[in-house]
Amino acid sequence: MKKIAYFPGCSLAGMDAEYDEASRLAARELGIELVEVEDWNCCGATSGHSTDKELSVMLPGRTLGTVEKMGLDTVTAACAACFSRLVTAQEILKEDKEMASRLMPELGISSPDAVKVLSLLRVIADIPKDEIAGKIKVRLEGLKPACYYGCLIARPSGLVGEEHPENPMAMDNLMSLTGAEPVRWYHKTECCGAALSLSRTDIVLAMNAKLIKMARDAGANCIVTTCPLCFTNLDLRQPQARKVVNETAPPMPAFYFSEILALALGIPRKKLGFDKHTIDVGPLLDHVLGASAGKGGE
Amino acid sequence: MPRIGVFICHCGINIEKTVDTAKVAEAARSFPGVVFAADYKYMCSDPGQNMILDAIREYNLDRIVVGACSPSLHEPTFQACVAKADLNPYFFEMANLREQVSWVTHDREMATEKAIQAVRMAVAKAGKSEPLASQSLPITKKALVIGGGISGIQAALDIAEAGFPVILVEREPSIGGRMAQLDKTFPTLDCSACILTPKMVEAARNPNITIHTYAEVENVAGFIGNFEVTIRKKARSIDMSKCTGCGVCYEKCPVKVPNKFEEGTGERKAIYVPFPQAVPNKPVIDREVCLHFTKGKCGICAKMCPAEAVVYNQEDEVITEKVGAIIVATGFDLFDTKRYEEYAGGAHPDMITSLQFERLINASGPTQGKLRRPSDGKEPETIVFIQCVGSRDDKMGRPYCSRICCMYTAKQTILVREKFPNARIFVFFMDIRTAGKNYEEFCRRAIEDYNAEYIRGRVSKIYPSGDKLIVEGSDTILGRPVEIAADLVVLAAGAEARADAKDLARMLGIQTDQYNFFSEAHAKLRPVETMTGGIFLAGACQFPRDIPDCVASASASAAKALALFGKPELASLPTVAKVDESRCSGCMACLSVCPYSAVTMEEVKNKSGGIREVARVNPGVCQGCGACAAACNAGVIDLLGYTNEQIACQVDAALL
Amino acid sequence: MNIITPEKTDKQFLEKIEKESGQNLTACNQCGKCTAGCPIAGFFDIMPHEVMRSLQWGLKDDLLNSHFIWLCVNCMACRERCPREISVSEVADALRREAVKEGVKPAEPDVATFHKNFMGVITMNGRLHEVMLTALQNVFTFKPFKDAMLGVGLFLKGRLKLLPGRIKDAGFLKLISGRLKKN
Repeated sequence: MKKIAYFPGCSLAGMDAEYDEASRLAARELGIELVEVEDWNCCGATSGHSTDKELSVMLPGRTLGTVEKMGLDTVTAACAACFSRLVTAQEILKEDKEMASRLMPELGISSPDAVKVLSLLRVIADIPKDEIAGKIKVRLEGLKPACYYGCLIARPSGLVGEEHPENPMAMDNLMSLTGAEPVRWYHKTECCGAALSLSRTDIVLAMNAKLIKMARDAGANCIVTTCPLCFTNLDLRQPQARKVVNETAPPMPAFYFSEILALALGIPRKKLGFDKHTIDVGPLLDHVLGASAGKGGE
Repeated sequence: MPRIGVFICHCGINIEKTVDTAKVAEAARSFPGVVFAADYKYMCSDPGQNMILDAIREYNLDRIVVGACSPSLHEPTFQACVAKADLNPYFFEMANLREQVSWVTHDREMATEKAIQAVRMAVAKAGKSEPLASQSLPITKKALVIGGGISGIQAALDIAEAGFPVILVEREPSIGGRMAQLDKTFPTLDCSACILTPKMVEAARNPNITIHTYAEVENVAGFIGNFEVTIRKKARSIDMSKCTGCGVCYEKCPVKVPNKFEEGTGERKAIYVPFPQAVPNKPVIDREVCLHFTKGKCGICAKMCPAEAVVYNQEDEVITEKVGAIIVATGFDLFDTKRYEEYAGGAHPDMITSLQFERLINASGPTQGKLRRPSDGKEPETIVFIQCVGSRDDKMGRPYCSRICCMYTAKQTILVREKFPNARIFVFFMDIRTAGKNYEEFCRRAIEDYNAEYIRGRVSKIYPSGDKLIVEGSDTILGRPVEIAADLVVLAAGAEARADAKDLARMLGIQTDQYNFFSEAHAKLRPVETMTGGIFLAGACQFPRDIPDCVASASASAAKALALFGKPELASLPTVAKVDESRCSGCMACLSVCPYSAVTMEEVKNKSGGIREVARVNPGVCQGCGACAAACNAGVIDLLGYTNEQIACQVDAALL
Repeated sequence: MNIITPEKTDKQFLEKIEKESGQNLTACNQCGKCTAGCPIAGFFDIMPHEVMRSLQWGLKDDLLNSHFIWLCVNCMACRERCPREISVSEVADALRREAVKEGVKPAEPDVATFHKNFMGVITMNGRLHEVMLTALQNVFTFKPFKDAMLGVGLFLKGRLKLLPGRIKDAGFLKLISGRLKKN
């Protein structure tokens, strides 16, 4: 089993435990052991870099130092914001030599890129296709996800390791392997409003109403994300967003990509926290899994 | 012992400001061989030159050193000056005290010191100079024009009309180029084909012009006045002498593929003429797609041809031609708009390039000029033009302005308005650049008379929604985002260098700029010449140009070629390489480094009567680059005017 | 009077933000693509391209008092598409930090409060705690029942942990709270 340091982050340790659980289970099925970073602390997103540049490096910086101490060469975060702060801290340390010389010894970092930072999506997407395909136990035909990458996993290109900032395909390709049919849509990397969720909820609701409409217009029957902030805005706040635009179409179920993957890898539905979603995913899963059971002859 | 005179120029204050010229002259008086030294405000002026002539007479000088600007500017001036006093021009030596000293520092003390050193080196070199003379060389008074667009056609016509033969090489099956693809032309709105085709026909009819279409230049050897070019005439699979151009072959051909001439908006057959007014109006077979060649089947065209002109087993023909001048007129490529992924993921049927628009609105185009949405054939009601797609964009590696898009976009809005009086026509622009005769007025007409709605701001994103394309832009004048649901989006694709421009540059030995456009010899004063003698530039292969500018540069390059042909003969370069054959070991190191193929191996007799091979430099071909002299293991090649001895003396003087 | 005169502008501010953001601010040629693609431009008082122009002038007060600096969520769409390769996102960060440093009264008090509370929670525990953050946000913005129903729903689904997690490394907590106070 390949060992990779894993930074869960506050959201996954709190409200978004189902993402954490699904990610660990899916990774294990695919031969990757996620080793939790010891005594990890908050990455600071997004208030850290809004308050103080040095603090915005110190917070994720400690994690980079800890991973080195743990003797692992790669760290992954499932949360897009955590991932973004980790790579950005490395970038700032590379550019600002003065700050680097002050902070790196304190944080236990030997060199800014001593540890490789990858998003969990990238870690899984880098596994050879055939290897994943061979492990798919449940085909999710009938699932038509709009793969939603959000901002921080796709931008800035050159730093995040995804090739096409406007039309990334890593998640789409994974979804296709499960038998799902991801839709072509044009808002994969459009912002969800992120941290304004608590302070300017009005803006976030308007943005999410648009995203959901675009996914629906593209023929999607669910929206799949990699980021707890996106998920919260799309799932938890969807009922509010619907009211703002007087939406009459049925609600759009939202998932984390690792939930879908875990399901396809044969993790029992009950072990995944689908009941914790705000938008009821039951009927869609019944439909998809029912079809799969019929075909698979299980 | 030579008698050397030294003259230090102030160049106004250009040199004097940083270099103590009087002190330099004073120092020069103590250099070995110097019998006279002075400084003066402008050495290149008449009084400055007279000062040199007077000093030569008065002090009986036989070597002259001038410390002034770059030799590339005034060396010829001073060489002519000393020649007046019956001195060999190569007894003149120049030290560059401006570009290499005064302009690169503000430190007067160090600059003066460096200037003294530079003059000391020049004096040391001048002391060892030998008289040199040029030989006369013949000129082949025939031109090669590469590229048969409007620029190439114009250059060919101008040279032919002056009475000299021209070979015009075009790689497509017809001449005509980009201009043949256009519908109307700005700022007069006359039909592009109507003004181009007479010139195409004229070029074909002119007895001084030989046109090779479907042909490419494969190799160029030789030098100014004496080039030898190899041209590959690709197999057309048609006997041109038998074909009558009746067209029955392409009517019956069963294979349909996208037509490059139509920018993919229409189809052609496997045997085809690219467009109805093609010159020559005789087809070619595209062997990549023809069933006869791909599957060994069909043969319909050969069966149908009443003239029996289809020749499947025709082979490429390689010909060589001797020419004295070459005009490069290879035109431009269009920026690949697919690189803008934020614009509908790079591609959408209802998002077309400006050149596709020209074909779709052209009466001889695939839709007979009926502009419809490619996706569903509906009449467009809202049309959005977006400028600067692949221009003025560092991110795309295209920071330059493509110069033509502002005007053609204004023209295209007028063409749309004429077809659809009620449509809404929007143009997103960054700046409107209309510097040309009647250009600004034309653009104002588009806005005021034809009601094109101009919005100042770039577009950030385009995405399909229902049967519309949503265009997200901004109005920076108002400071507000703008969203338009469009039926048709036209991207003003920027112009860029031909994808294979670098290869051609290498073949011709000419330079390219950072965008792979061909470089002129001087941005202001030699705009159509290259750094290689006898090779000239015309049209958009040099930088994006509109039709009037292309035609003007084509005529200018023709004038340069004609000026060359007007001379009875060429004076060869005196500063060429020379082999001391008695000491040459025949290792051939020089042979492989010569970029002009000027070195040959010759058999000579030893004293003992044996025969051995030595290198010999053809002084007519040698361009004096010095590569062979540097490569020579035995050090027996001298570049005249820069002999090994002279260089060694300079180095000694520098180390003093 | 709303006239710009060179005397009213602060060119040193331009240099400061240029350094702090790492962006070449004079490179902006006002094409407007940042504004065109900004998902929340519709809510701004100053558009992203106007921010860049204001910086080129050195209109410090306009910028530090703007809603823009608090509303930009750093989605980086501007950064990704800018033809001059400038990141307005980094500029927004730098301006926001400058406003905090200078103690400017924030134009978006709720957003500023959010950041303050957020930093407060993580310097106390080293980790974020959603319940605590939301409660603080509601108290300090005088909206005690905002999102209360969402909270109840989440609680019933077992998604809310009532007690915050805390890191063991007390030295680090001291270090970051020291840095925060220094600001």
